[in-house]
Amino acid sequence: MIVRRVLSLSVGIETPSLDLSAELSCLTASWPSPSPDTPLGVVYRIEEAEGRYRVSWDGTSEQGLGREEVFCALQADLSARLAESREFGLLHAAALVRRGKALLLAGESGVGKTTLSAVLLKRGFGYLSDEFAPLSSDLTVRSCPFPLRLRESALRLLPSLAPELTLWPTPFGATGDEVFYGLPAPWLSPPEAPVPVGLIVFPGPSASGGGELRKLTPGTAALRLMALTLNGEFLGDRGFLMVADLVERIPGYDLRLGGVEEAAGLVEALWERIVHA
Amino acid sequence: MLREVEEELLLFDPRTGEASLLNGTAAAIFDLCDGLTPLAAMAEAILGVLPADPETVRADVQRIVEELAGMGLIEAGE
Repeated sequence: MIVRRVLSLSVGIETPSLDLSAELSCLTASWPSPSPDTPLGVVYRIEEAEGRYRVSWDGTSEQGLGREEVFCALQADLSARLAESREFGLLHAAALVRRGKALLLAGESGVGKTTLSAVLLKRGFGYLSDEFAPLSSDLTVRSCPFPLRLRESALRLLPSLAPELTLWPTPFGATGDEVFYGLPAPWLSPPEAPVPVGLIVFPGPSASGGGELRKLTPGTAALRLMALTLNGEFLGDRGFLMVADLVERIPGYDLRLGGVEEAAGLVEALWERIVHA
Repeated sequence: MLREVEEELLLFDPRTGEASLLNGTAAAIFDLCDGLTPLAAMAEAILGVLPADPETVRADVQRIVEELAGMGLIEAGE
């Protein structure tokens, strides 16, 4: 059985297929291991029949899955569990790390968080998270190292990703704009310790086609983060106070994405000016 | 819940999970909404700290109070 940890949840993955087990080991390689005496919070059992797969856990199952859909099913269930957590504020954000501080790229799916993350990894940022940034009340984020999910259309805009990112050879998702998993290189592996947030950037499309950064008032940044807190209903006042504390101390910037390389350059220059000045 | 951040005021309603933001002027007017201070006195108080056209300020106070009431943050009075 593959045993990993996603934040405080210990996860077991069991499959009789050696090939699939090897694949899942690779896709979860950067997830930490729980301590040996930790009971498993969830065990995913994967069975194969006639080339299709059935994943079952906690009395639930998904059947008739293609091989490339197995990991998606696991990730979807784990994401749903995280979104019900009361331990931390789960921000819809990518998180990167440089010299002990975290950069949050916050926004809805499709705004360019992952594409921008991929370019910033090439520029020397380390990896914390692609979709979910778990924020604690001490204003640190922890790693949630699911693989990056890169759309084929976005990949066409990017320079070579190697050696920092390895694309998983099998795509998944809708035909026509398939999604590839990007696995960060081992030297970009996320730190286990929580990382203090240093800067918040909200990427979005540019009307003019040119890249632009604009500082947000703390109140505006707070409103945006509240809307991007995936488990807000479970946190109540605590979530609000956490976000208010964050924007009081950490600057937030709106980023209009022109070219992704240009945007990454703007973010990196801002990071060096604001966080490491 | 209320939280002042720089000159703005963040409001959070835990019953609905809705957050709202008042800019500096709206936050100042919200502070003056004590159920006793009439709109004209609120406008005078704003004019005391913010040099502006009195007619514009009176109209802004009226509009902002109506917006605050519309957001359910205050109850409209007589």
